[in-house]
Amino acid sequence: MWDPSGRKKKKCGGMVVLKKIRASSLVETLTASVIIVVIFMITSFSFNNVFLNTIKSDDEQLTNRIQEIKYLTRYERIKFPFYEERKYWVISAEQKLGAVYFEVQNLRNKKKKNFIIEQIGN
Amino acid sequence: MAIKKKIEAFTLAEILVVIVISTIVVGLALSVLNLVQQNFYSISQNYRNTTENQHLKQQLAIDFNRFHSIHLNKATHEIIFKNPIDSVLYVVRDEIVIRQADTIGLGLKEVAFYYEGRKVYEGKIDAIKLYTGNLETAYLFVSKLNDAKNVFKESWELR
Repeated sequence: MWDPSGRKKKKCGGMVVLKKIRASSLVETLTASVIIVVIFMITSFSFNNVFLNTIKSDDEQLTNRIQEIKYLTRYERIKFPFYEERKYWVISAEQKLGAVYFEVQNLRNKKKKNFIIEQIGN
Repeated sequence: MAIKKKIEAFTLAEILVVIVISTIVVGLALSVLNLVQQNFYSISQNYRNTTENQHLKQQLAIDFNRFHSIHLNKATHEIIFKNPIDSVLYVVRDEIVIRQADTIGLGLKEVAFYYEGRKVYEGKIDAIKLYTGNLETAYLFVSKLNDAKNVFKESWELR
């Protein structure tokens, strides 16, 4: 067949990539993936930490128990001195001069709280 | 037709190595995804439970302090909150609490009622203790102060 360019036509036997594809090198891809993994680890750790802290700072159970004790004290259903040790708290109380002195220790966040209930009847 | 030119390609061993490596990578990614999903599921479950408990407690506290008399009906499992202008009906039955038209499914384990520090099963109440199933050994406690009218009414009824 006549070719206007006069050059000999190259025979193509199969698929050949004619255009060079722009790509990153192996080291670059590896670095990128390592960075992504590191960022993922940091975020998951910090998120876990935040969630654990919300669980630790949750003192609903203790609040409910204190409310119950206050209620029972009002109607003199608790004998003093009072001492209670649970998994997450320690409550102690003693009666002095017509008032009850409570000491509450939250074992989860190591916080202490004191309050006094006046007993009008005595 | 015989192929005259050699085609550039990978060998079988190379392809196999690539497949094995990609399988490992995909497996790792899937297991990590599974872990993260489980974590998020438990977080959302916990959040939902605590929010529901707190809402119920708030509502109970509001109702206990808003209404003058609280009466428990043992036969119908109803608690009737009354004051001169309004009333609210609670039904505590079969692991659920119903307030008017709202149903709160807490997985209720046990309920205890108190009046002046004593456990009661019928009649007037001034405190409630709800053991909820979604929190271990946890309960809600809501109480109110009885006013003078309550005491006078009681002594009047005794006469």
